[in-house]
Amino acid sequence: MTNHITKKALIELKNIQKVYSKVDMETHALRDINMSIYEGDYLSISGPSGCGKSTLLSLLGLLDTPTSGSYLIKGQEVANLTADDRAEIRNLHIGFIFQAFNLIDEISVYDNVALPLKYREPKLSAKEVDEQVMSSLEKVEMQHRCSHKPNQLSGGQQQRIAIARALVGKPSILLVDEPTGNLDSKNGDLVMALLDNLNKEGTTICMVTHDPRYADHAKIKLNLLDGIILDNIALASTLQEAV
Amino acid sequence: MRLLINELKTTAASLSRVPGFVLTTVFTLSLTLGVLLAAFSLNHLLIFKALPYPDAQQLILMEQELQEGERRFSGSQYFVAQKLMYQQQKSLDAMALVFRSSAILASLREKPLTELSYVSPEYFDMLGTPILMGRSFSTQENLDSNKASALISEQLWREQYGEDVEIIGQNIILGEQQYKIVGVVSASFAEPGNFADDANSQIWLPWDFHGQDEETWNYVYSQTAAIGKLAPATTIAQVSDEFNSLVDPIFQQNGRVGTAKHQAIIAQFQDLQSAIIGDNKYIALLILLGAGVLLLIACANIVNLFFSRAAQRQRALVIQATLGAKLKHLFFNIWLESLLLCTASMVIGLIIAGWSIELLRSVASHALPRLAELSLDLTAVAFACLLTLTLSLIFAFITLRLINHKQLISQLQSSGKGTGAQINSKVRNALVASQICLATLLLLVTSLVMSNALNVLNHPLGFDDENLYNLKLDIGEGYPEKESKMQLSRDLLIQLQTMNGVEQISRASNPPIRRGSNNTGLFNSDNVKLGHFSFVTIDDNYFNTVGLKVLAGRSYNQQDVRDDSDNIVLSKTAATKVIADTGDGKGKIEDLIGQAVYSAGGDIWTVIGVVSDVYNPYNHERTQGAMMYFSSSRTNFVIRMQNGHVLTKSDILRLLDEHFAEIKVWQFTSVSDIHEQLVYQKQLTLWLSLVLGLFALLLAAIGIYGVISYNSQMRRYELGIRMSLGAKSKRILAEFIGESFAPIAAGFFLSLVLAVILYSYAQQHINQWLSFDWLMISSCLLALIVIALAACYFPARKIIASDPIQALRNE
Repeated sequence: MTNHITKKALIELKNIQKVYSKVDMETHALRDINMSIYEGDYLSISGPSGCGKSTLLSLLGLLDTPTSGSYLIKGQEVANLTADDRAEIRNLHIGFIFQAFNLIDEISVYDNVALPLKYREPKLSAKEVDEQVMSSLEKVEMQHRCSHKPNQLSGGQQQRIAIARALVGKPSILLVDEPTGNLDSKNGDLVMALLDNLNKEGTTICMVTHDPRYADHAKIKLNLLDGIILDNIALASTLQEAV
Repeated sequence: MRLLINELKTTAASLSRVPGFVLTTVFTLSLTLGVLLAAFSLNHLLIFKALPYPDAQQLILMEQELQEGERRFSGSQYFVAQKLMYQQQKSLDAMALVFRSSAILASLREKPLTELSYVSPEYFDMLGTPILMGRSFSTQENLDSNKASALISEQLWREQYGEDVEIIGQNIILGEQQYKIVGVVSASFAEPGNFADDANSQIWLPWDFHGQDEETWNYVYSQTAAIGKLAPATTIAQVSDEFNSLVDPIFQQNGRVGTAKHQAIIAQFQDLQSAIIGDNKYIALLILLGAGVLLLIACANIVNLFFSRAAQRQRALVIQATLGAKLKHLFFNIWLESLLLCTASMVIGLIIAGWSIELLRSVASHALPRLAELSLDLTAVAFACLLTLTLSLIFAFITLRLINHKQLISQLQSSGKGTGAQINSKVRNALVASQICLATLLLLVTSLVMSNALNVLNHPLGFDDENLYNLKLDIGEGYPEKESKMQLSRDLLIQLQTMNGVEQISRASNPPIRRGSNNTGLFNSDNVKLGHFSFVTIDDNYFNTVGLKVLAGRSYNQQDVRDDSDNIVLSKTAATKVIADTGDGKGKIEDLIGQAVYSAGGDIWTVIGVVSDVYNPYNHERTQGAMMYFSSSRTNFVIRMQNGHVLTKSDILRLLDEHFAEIKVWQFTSVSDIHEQLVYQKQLTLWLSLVLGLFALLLAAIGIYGVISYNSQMRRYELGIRMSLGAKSKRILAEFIGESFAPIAAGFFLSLVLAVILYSYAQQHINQWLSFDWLMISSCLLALIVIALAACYFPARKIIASDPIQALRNE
């Protein structure tokens, strides 16, 4: 278990708000979110539909912008960064796994996994790209499907490719949005087992799930309701330990 | 029926919620439909619709061609030959002679120069001429009857005679001759215009009074022809054979000139419709092709708009599929919307077509034949309805093809989070490539047409036409002797020179540029033909007045003019041609000075000078500026005024009233007005092609932007994925523009290939309308490339500028 008292946070959110404004109404998707994620953490975010889980994950992944509040990643405040700077952080530090896989059907499995490396600066050599892509595919046991197109694979296989893509750039953190949402229970178990192994190897994981069975895989569980973090069971127990 | 009405109401209500889609679709389609319908009506009139004369398909135009060795000369007729055929032919049911001319209507106060036709009596019956009052010509006006009757037009009757109901029996005076009005021709008469550029006779007179030589072979005339009506089961070939057997033997005996090995006069007969339309059918087809291409571009635009609309209606279509709707139900739904839009576009298109036709009639009546008959008739409306139905079905069909029914069902089973339909890239690329290909092709064609028009419009005349006037006088019969004519010429010159503001004045048979020309052959001492050149007779001050430079030798002097000398001056191009055919062909123009050249009849002319060329827009393609000048004393004048001084007809009339009361003004125009008339058709061409080109550019811009924007909308989800993986904006833009530009480049390439093929084919038919100009073509292509790049950039920029999550959620 990571000693949070002594280590520096990988990600810190302070007083984060997210408000969606339409013509005649405002929706507070997130209110006063304060949380920190440390290296090696395995964090789950649960809650009923519409509670703001995916919104929170999108903010963590720099895919969306908070209405107010502070977001620090590796100590750097992201509020004043340009779009390209945020893109660079996503590319270097964040691996995102989507519920709907979000693979590009028109390119091969290999090219899908290589996509994050394509955007890396300075450019990697073809050999380096190949090594990292194959290594990533081997981790998810999909190296034999390199030349296939995503729509030729099953749901479970597509999700494993999505995981490989998220891992290829050796990110600081994996953000996982309902990884088993589109899978049957057997494939869901397989994907969860994969994530568990990755965390054991030291990968930091933050996962959104509505399934309490899968939420229990995480060491730290956050519950969200109406945009507010209800409790932080693991954090409370950690603080108790420290005391 | 109630169900259908309900469906229509629902569809209309649904469309009312997307005003942008409706307005863009209707705007694009109605404009192009309007242009297409007008072009269709024009083509239908020129190519398919029969002439408005009884038994029109049996009518032929009878013209002659002079064959001289390898050369062919057409466009002018021997009256001798016409009359011979008229009197002795047996193969025609009827034959009429026509000679177009003009004369001063001396019985009116203003003595206007009036267009008229000398006709044989069969003319009116053959053409079914509607008579408003009185009668047409009958056997009373047969050839050699010398009965001085006249028919006037309804326009003349209204404008000059105040719709006088007692007009029949009144007299008119044309030149020195008096005629009795026997009838008024209705304004609905469509006078056949072919051998004369403008068919707008105001008076018809009997053939006997044309006053031209119809006994000898000395003269040919371009404003005359004969119209024949084929007997049943008789062919044009048979009539031609009869003409050749009747006329050529007599020509061989009496009409040959020079020593060309082979000379013959042969029939050049064709059906009247083809003769009237001539090469204009190619123009009409070109206009129709242009309109058709515009419609294709518009259709590609609209298909793209329908795709976007289908994407918007995805949810509604999914729900219908859930409730059991089959493909045919979805098709009906989409087709109803498409039909409403197409119908609205057709209605507006018909209105636009009507306006376009009115505009065409008012501005292009000098350029295209039969325009007075042009209207939006039942055929055009039927075509519009058929086109509307076809287009609506095509749009609906294409849209439905792209909505995969199975995909709709599968969408019901997905959570719908962040899923975006990904349209096959081949379809995307084909749409873009076709847009670019069509638009580029249209722009290339319009640029070739515009280049040609600009070449003519901007071509320097070789002299300054500002402040230059042409005055033709009708001296009547009062000066029968050559010496009296010459004295009159000198007296007129002296008096005209006294007018305020006159800088230079000279006598000449014709203005420096004009419609038509007098031509004659030039031979060397071995009777070898050096050329067939147009000529003008001038005095000693002509080149000074017009502003032409003497390049070698000299101009005429007063002695030459007094003596009607046998000296000749050549234009630079004529001199160059003569040199090329003389000796080793390498001489200089100075070498021609003092050389003798010969007429067809063996008269000797001595070359005394070479002057700079004149560019006559009317016939430059044929003559290339080759001209000859002879000296003579005339009663036609070319007058150069000082800057700031304007010469008017009133000034001339005042002077004539004071000093020469019996002399009338035949024609008075400024040379710049003549220039304007000569290039009018090119100006019209320029403006039409400019409008067409801009319209094509606009449609292409809308289309390309729409397609690329649609592409970017469809790829929004994919772009969101790339952004979420860390792709920076420049990188995405470069990739997106690069990928989008591949089909654009393919479209360009294909259009260039098609353009080369079309140019090679079309050039031989409509060479006079096309000119190759790299600057013009490059400008058009550059404009299109800029538009294509902008169309690629802006839609993608919009997506990239927002947060990736919005793209992933397809917000």
